[in-house]
Amino acid sequence: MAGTHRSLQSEAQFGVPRKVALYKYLEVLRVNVQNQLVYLMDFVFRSLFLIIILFIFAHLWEFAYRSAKLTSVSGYTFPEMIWYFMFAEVIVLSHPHVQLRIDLEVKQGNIAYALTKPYSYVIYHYFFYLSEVLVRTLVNLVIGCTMVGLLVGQPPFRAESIPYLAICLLFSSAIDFCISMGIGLLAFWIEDTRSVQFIYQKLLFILGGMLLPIEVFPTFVQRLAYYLPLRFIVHGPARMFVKFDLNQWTWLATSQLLWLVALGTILTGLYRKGVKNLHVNGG
Amino acid sequence: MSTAVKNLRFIWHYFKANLSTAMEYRASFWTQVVGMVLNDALWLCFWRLFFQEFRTIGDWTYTELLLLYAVVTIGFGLAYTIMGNCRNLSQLISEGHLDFYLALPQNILLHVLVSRMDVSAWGDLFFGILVYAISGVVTWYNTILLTIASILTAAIMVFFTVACHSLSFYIGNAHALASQLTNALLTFAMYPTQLFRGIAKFLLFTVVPAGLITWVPTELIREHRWEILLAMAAGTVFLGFVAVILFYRGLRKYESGNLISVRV
Repeated sequence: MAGTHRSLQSEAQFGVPRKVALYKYLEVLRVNVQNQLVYLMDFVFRSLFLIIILFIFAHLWEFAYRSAKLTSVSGYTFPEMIWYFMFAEVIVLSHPHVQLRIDLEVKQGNIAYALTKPYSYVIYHYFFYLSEVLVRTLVNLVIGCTMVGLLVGQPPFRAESIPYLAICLLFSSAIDFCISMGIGLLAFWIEDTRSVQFIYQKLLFILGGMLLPIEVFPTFVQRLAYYLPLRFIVHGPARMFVKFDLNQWTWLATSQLLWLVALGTILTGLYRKGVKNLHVNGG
Repeated sequence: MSTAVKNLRFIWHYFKANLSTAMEYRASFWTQVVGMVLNDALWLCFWRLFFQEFRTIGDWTYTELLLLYAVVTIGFGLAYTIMGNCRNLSQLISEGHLDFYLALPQNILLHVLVSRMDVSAWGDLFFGILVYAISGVVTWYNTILLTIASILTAAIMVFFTVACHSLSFYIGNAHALASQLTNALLTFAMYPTQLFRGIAKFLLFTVVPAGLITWVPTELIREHRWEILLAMAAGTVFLGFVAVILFYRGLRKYESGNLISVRV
């Protein structure tokens, strides 16, 4: 069989009410959270890296603050810096590499089977991704908070900020999903998307503010970070964690939403264009 | 012909074959290499920014850090371009894929290790050479020291990876544990040992031998202390001894699953 393509399946085509349409994605989320929970110990085990990196950075910053006799760097005290780093690291480590899955599905042609199913390919993958994010974030937060609590003491955040932080994290993961899935979909056109993902990950480290808060950077790097969505994935939520402020949160959540709309539109366009290029040979 | 020469020829032939296979997909090869160079370069950006804020970490300046990155990335590049299969060892053991190697008249461990190449490790190798070139301390003497230290670093990485992955013979599929331990070695090797004290420092010279690598920039290149190179070599030999013992003792416990597989 050659030269077949299908456009995005919409619920309307199948005559499914919107409520049921959402319900099936929530079911995807529920089933996958259950699947993730089966491998909970595996996640805990994989968190060894988080423990190691927190240990190293706590020592690095402690050494730096002590030797330079500083009480704060760009407004961050030593404990705030470590808590910021912990939260930023948790965000990055809790985002699964959706690009790998999409890249493989496109290259192996499995995407063709998914197109025949009564769901949106992109939304299905989002809920699949979200299930992993939920479990990983919880596990990493418990381990990270325990580790940093032991190293530098009490966290600087207030309990009433938790719901606001949860919303920030949800938007942050959605932005990351749009970018990662977009990179995965590039497999329609380029041979290897791993390098693009590599670079995206490392840009998150620097321009996203994972390794250092963006305020510490020289002005030209701050300006560069200002025009990119990366800071809304890591720096924004991590800063809210250590320095919560309702006004700043409103600005952050609005900016995240705007970026989400823009990136979601690009992702949908990319997907539709990619699927038009799809050729299935054999079966 | 001595066994050592035979083994070196064997490694060379496999290396050429692996490289030819990788170059078959030329675009993919270069994308991975360039991607890895950029990946490593972004880490250096972090350190550049860090050293702009804090001039030194103890007696480490940005130059020492460049040298550390050079020795680690060249070592990593050498290890995994030549012996790229060592990170798959635990899976080969637990899934019963060793049968193929057992039936052939070659050194089993060596054969397993060289039978694959990690293409992206070429990026690390190029990056390491580039970083050394811009470090500002390039002399013939330092180049010889760095070359020997990088080869020892590569050997430390391979031996440590073999030792960790050989745990699969004893505790079942140890892939996740082995990956975490080898990541730990690599992660700790990228930071000055001066940051750590007490038990942490002791562990870095024993359980996770990153300490053997991190003294290269200061003690070896800056101070030219040859005894450090000897200590590094002694540590490497000891680690090699442990890795080979763990692998061959474990191999006695290996159970074939009579798996029929095709090697591509």
